[in-house]
Amino acid sequence: MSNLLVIVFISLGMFFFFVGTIGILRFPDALTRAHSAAKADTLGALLSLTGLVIYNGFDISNIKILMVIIFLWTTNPTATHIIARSIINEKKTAGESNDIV
Amino acid sequence: MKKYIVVSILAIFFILFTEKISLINIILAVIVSSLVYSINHYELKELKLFRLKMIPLWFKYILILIKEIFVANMQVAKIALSKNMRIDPIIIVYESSLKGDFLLTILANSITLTPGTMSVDLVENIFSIHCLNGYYADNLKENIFEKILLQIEGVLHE
Repeated sequence: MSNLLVIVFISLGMFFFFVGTIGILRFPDALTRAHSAAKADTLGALLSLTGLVIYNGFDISNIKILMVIIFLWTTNPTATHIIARSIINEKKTAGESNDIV
Repeated sequence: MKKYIVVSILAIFFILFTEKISLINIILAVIVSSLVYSINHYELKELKLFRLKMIPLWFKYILILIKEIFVANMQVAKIALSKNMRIDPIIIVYESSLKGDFLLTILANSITLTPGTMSVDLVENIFSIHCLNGYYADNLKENIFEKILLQIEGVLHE
């Protein structure tokens, strides 16, 4: 039973990583690609790591996995923010910032 | 007081990462944490935000955030796998009424994790937000995250 849950969680996690990667390849420009990279990773990591927690059984090392989730959820948007800002600054210096409403 | 809080937090981390609860390990944790405390400089301004009164608000915030992350991922999956992508990206300017830097950072990160929006720049309390479609910008107007954070800030200044 628990193996089944592990398979379901990790497969769903892999699905979201997969979709995120497809998004990075398919979206038209750098800023929209950053969207895909920021979102898919968070849920993918949550589901995969939850699968690992169930597989591991319940002991103290699960807290470490929980910590990995928390750090990923705080660092991932921050990194995306930096990437997006550098793209915007690049556009501003190139004089293409007309799309800012 | 400040010293005991910092040392105990560091010691708990040490014990968690070594995965062993024995007397010698706890003594070692306290020694190492005190050493780390003595060579680093800590400010505990943000600790006020996690007082007992605010725990229910943070709990609510995290639950809503998880729900929004699920929605955001479904939506990215839908767009990434759709045949012809209907997106029309715009950048909007959004002024927040929050004041604290820490809460503004949390709000910026939450905006990035919610569907269709991504915070690009933050000057003082004015966000530049990149939206995949125009209608996501309308959702920002009644931003539930900002409401909860404003409540937290309100409790802080009581």
